[in-house]
Amino acid sequence: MNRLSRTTLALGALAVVAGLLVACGGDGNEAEAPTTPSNCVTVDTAVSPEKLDLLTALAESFNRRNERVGGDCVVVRVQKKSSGVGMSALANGWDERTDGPKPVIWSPAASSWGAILNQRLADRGAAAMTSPDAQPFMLTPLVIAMPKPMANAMGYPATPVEWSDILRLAQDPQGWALYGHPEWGPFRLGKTNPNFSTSGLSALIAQNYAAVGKTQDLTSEDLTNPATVEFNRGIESAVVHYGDITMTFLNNWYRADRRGTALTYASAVAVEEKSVIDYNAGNPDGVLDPGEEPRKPKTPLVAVYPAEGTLYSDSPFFILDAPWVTDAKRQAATKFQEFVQEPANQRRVLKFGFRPANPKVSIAAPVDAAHGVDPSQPATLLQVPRPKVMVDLLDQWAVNRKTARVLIVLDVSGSMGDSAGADSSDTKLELAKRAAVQALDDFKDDDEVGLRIFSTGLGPDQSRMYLDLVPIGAIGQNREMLKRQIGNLIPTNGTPLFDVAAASYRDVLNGYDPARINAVLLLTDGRNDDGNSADDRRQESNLLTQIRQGSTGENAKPVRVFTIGYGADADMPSLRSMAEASNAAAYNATDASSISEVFTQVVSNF
Amino acid sequence: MKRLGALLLSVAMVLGAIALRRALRDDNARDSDAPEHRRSIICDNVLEAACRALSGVDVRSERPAVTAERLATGGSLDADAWVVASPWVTIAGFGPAQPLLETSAPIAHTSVAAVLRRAPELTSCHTWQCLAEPGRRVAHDSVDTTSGLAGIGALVAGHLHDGDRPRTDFARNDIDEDDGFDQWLNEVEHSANLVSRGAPVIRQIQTTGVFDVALGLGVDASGVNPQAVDAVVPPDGPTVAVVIAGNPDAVPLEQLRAALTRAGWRAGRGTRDFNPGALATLRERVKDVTR
Repeated sequence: MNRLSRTTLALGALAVVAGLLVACGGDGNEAEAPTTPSNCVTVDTAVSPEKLDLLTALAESFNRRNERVGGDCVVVRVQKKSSGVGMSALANGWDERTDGPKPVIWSPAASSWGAILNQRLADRGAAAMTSPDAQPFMLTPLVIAMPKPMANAMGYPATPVEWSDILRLAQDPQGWALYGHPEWGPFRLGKTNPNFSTSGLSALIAQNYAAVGKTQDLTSEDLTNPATVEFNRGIESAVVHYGDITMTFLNNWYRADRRGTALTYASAVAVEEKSVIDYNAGNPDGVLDPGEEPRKPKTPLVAVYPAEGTLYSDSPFFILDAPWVTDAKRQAATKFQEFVQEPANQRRVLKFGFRPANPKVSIAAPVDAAHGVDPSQPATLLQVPRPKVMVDLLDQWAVNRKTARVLIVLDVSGSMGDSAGADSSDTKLELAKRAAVQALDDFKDDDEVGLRIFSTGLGPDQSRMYLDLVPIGAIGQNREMLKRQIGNLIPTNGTPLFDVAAASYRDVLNGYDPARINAVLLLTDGRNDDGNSADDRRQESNLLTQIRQGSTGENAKPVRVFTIGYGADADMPSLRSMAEASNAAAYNATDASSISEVFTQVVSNF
Repeated sequence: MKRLGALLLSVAMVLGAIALRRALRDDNARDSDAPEHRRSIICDNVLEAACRALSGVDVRSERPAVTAERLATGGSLDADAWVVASPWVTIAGFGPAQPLLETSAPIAHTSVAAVLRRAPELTSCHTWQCLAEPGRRVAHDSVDTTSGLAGIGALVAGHLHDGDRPRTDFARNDIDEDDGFDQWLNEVEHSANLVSRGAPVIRQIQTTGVFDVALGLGVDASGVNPQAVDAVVPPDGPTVAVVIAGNPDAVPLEQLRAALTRAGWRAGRGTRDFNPGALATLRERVKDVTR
């Protein structure tokens, strides 16, 4: 090396030192650049709603641990996704614009959803995404929740209760008189729609196993066996209505309990054990809203574990076999999975009424007799059927479920012609028409459906408040006419809400069919506006009295009034009162763009 | 010679770098030595007069619902502290993942009061239970304000009475489980005809309007004309407390106490606080029926 180059090198080195001195300062006070998810391995996790709070809290604890994969930090992000909705989203390719970030971990309420997903994918020639050996996060068995006096009347717990006992009670015209309690009326069963709800799906599996006397290896042939079909139809005949979530039943039951009529609203509802614990603690839907105080029900529920066996909702941690799940993401997800299995974290699931999945952690309160459940049960566990059988189960249920008799009552008042929102070029009526037409496909052919529209000044002499465009009849014959009539609707005048609700309720009641779910599905975007506001309160009061009288007592002819408040100006308090008076549910579509989703939820009741 | 030149140049560079670094550090030091920034507080608009009496702070008056909704939707307080009636701090914490602000002990409190039209049927109607009876024409401020929300809250406590006492601790369940609640509330909300002119409604009751009873804070009831109306504080009614949320050190506490006392507030905690979550639910219900 010559002298010049040595000098150049020395100068260069000094320049570097000088530059570093300027840049670094050297006082050591600078904080490290904050870590953001963008430079970490992000583990997006889609979980069913009942464990959102718990897993969000666990993810926060995990993120504070600063775990690393290949030198990169790891961040877990949790989003809520109902089990059925998550399954459909994955089966349909998961659209991030509508479904949120693509999950690395999917944790539905039960492994059965993974089996259905794999079958749906296989039907399209796509590879499976979930492993049947996924590790459960926490457990809760499907039970039949019954008011304690009713369970005791059946001899429970000394005498085990079977699905066949339910069938016998459901089909005996004496109803509860069979057990010396005619005042309780007929046996009424609450069961959710298995296409949406894990409890509904587990109950469907359990009743089919019970029908064939097996605990494993349920086959597609079993499902179409005439005796199985008969058994299922018998059970379904006792259903009060279906629906997408068990909370509708539990809230209605609790409300009825506060009025002292819990025993005539429902005799039994298929729910998870955790829901019995929540209900008995005075928190029927498991969510304490701001300002809500848990108050124990007058009549507690007991968890009946069907003698034929039951299934666990096992909250599997599916680390997905999906193209977007890289090796790094998989490793990071595995670290989170190990974290949630740690005993200290597993003990946290007890607080939410679940059983720990880690066998090293003991079951403890509130999973105990004081909360209406039995930690030594279930004695018999049922095997999750093979994916193909799961899909066949759902198809068979669609055939065997209780039929419905529904009057769809649509508001065509002038305000329905308003824009559906700043982002939409459609009117509210246009959106509602599309949603209604789409929902008609969810009815089965022997459901009976009619269409009534309401506004002021209808009919040839412009004096009518409502018009029956399609009388109630089998939708198998009416479907196209219903679609055509809905498609032709145009907005008109006022909103005679209370009068039309009362008339619609009366009309369905007059044609009451005990073999069907009898219901009014009422959609409105406004409040009562019949040209005379002076009698609004009296009209509403009369309507509610009429509905309550018809819905209460052992001889009730329950006509459920499911209401949809549509758009920002809908009178939700009145719609809620109508729905609650009939032990149904009010649906909120104040965001008009949600109407399609809401219609699907409402029709899941039938 | 060349070596000497290079050495001198490099020494100069190092010295220059040190000088530059010192200059930068001095700049930073000057920044941190700057006098503390003037404190800013947001005041519940019913407390504006008391806040304006404080020295050394910048005061912004805001309807508490505006501040609460900003916080509940993930926004910042946008001030060092918030002087406000206590329920609003909890209501602001109901937003998604929004933690409660650090909150001081109650500084002062007042009762909820009613001002009655002079009429034979109202002469002895001095309980919340009586005031809440159907058919009364009731006026109150917006439920986005403390006086409005506390006023209708007190009336609900009378409606949901427990024997002969108002249920000041009513919960959301009590509202949900009362089959006739929405109808009752609807009647109340459409019963009076009194246009607010900015001042608390109980100070306007001697002006034109159709009503039997106006609701508000006890501190405002002292300003009414006793020749025209009866101001009452029904027994066993709720109280509303003032707290500081955020950085309590931003508020000159003794000055605030003194100013509140001058305005009619009583020192310390009240005896019957509302359930803030139930008030939040009630506020939504009122908005539902008045939309």
